[in-house]
Amino acid sequence: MTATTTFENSFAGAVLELAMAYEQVPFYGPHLDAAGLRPDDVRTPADFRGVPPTGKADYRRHFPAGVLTRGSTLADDFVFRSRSSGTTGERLVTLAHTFTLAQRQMRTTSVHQGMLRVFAGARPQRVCRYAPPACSDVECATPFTTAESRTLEDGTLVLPVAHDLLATSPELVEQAAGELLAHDPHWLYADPAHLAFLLDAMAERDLPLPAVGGVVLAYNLATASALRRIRARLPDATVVEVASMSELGWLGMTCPLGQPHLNTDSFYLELLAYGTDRPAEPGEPAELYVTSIGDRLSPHIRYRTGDGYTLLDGDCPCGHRFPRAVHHGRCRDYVVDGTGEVVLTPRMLDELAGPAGWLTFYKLTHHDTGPLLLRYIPVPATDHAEPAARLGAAIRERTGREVTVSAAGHIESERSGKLFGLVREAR
Amino acid sequence: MTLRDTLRADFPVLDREVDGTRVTYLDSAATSLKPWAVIDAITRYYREVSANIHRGKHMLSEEASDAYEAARTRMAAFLGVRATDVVFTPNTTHGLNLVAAGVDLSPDDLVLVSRDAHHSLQLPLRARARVEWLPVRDDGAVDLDAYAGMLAHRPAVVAITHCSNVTGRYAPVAEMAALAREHGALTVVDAAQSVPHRQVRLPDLGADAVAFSAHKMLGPTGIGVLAVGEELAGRLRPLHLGGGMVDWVDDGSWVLRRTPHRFEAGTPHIAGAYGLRAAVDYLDELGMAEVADHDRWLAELMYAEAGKRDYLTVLEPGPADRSATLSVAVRGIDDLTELARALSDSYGVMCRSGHLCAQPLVDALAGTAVLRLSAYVYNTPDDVHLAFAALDELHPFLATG
Repeated sequence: MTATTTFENSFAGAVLELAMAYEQVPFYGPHLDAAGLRPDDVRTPADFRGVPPTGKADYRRHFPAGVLTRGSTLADDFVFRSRSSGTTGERLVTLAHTFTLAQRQMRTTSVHQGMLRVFAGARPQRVCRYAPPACSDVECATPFTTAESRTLEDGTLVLPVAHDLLATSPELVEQAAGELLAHDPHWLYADPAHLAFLLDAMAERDLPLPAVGGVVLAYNLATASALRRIRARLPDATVVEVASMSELGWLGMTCPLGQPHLNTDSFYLELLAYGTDRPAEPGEPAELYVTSIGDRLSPHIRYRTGDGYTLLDGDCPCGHRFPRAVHHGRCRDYVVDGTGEVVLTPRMLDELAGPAGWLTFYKLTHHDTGPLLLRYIPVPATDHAEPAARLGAAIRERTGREVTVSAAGHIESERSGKLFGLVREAR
Repeated sequence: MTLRDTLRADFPVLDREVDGTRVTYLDSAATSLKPWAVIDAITRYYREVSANIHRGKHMLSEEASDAYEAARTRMAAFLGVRATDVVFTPNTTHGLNLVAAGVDLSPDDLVLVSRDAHHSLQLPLRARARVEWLPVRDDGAVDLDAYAGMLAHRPAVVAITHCSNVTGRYAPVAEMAALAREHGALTVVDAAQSVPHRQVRLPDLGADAVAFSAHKMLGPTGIGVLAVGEELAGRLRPLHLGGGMVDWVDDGSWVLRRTPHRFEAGTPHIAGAYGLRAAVDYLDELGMAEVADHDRWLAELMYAEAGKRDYLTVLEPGPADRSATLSVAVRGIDDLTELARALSDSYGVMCRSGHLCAQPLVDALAGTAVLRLSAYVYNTPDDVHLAFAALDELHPFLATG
């Protein structure tokens, strides 16, 4: 079975979702009508690609009446809502049934039995989250909040952190560390850059490190440097990377072999070659479009994620049937050459940087023209200049663009609060 | 329509769409939109002049100085006072702090403060003196008989909100200031919500100090006015010391400049003065009498529409002399953040939710955060109807119980 065939196994579910959305969700009727389509016209994946993609703006503009199934309200039982600014900084209110999210989480986690055991053994309400403030529904960016005020309905304790991660004050770091140790979580749900930052800070202060059974890294692409530090600080924890979106929940997870698998049971996923509407070949830069399956509250049809992936061919040695695809970060940040070819993605850049024992964080910023600007925060007392120059040369060779390399004392987070390694800036 | 039909075209933000929906701006009590005339005046300063004032002898500096002082004169004429009575400040809050700090209150001094005072009026005084709220009747209006009784306790200052940013209600400032003067009390007035909406002639008010901001009257952010009479100006201690506010400095002393310059330390918001003048010109061209009529007309419509809906509880309903500012509690929705976001993102209606920087009053009247709609010259009845229709659609989805 090819990777593409694996994706198409869930196509029947997408067709049913489309029909349901057209009949039951007010936004989708006019959306399809404007394209001259009816659900009955859609019989093949190629037909399905004729359905106009949806985006954040659609769900924001039509919230709530247009995006809920008829008869549903936000006050219904089991409706979970989250306000998120997301990776793009574009805000959105997300609605989902708690049981739907739980099901997606469990199906996604089926690729990692060890993580399933962590979840199964978790004490009630023993999760800590450490992520950009904009990713949580509670105020967590000031020192004037309490752990109680930051505890979500499901018992998750959101730890405090500044919007600009590396500018988090020592007081806020110590507050987060203290609460983390006092809460004694069974597992952590964290942005990898954030968690690496906090664990480094705790180690610097000679604080004990949390005895967690598992770590779920989400929100942001995990750099090799962040993974190196997290694994070194928490050697006994099961660490997985999760592809998730507040709109949809968990979409994918790394298996015990570290291979990234996408959940094709809960979603019909399309990987379209970057800048086109044709299915991508293995290894080809692609953008992910998601259609929910079985969502009876607020289905998403051909939701354009803006996230880049490349499909991996062949079966995973772990034996799981979910297809493998490597997350490459936000498509908008890609470095593209004059012919439109993608020459550098956040993932490619991180592969060039590697675990890099000489740096903690880096950021490569670029405009459409001019040199690429690489800043990095060196690990103290390391000989960082030479490897930094080598990294700059590798980027230059990969992109054909000039690269300016400099060590920095601070690297700013994005407006979303996330610390990205590769950022395209508009002039 | 009491104002010209083509007025909306003067405000570029009204051309904006949010995800394909036209913007309906009903948050003018927070800040007003800016017409092209104001935007052009500000950019003209940066584009053509860009020099500092009162410091150099070159031509550009002189041109900037002249324009800055012309803005002061223009504002003085608008208010009916002398130009020397007009102090440019960063905003209303700064002006009110300047008065609270500058009159050297002691913790034992009594200060009477409007029950509907914005935090910017009440907190600088609460931090320095013993504050009691001005008495109000059941309908929310000031109880003038009880007020007269309180004046017998010899307050040092009476602080009055001319127009509430929560209820839109106007206070009888002239009557209250006259009574305060009879009892030897200074009167300071927060006019942030009144000066933009009706002709306010300061000699008619009889207050000692009146503060307001340009940004609520079509002008830019970062500049406001403290109108202060000669008597108070003479005893008011400047809040800041520095360049531009002294005539002479030697090793042993310094000599303050005359008012208003002694209250304007440092380089001021010169571009803001250009913009403020353009805003005053714009309002005068519309006619403040027409602006006030339009405001009353929209206020009546908003209160009438709110009164038709049993899921809305109006803060201080009933007839009153008020501006087009309406605050409501919404049945079944304690956290109005979601409602305000949905009004914005799904319907393009921009309005405010929260405690409106008047938390003691809002907590007393509603016990929770409220939603506020506030209109201005560019709003029409269609805007009001659209906002209420959006509320009608959203309420069933968001309310519990």
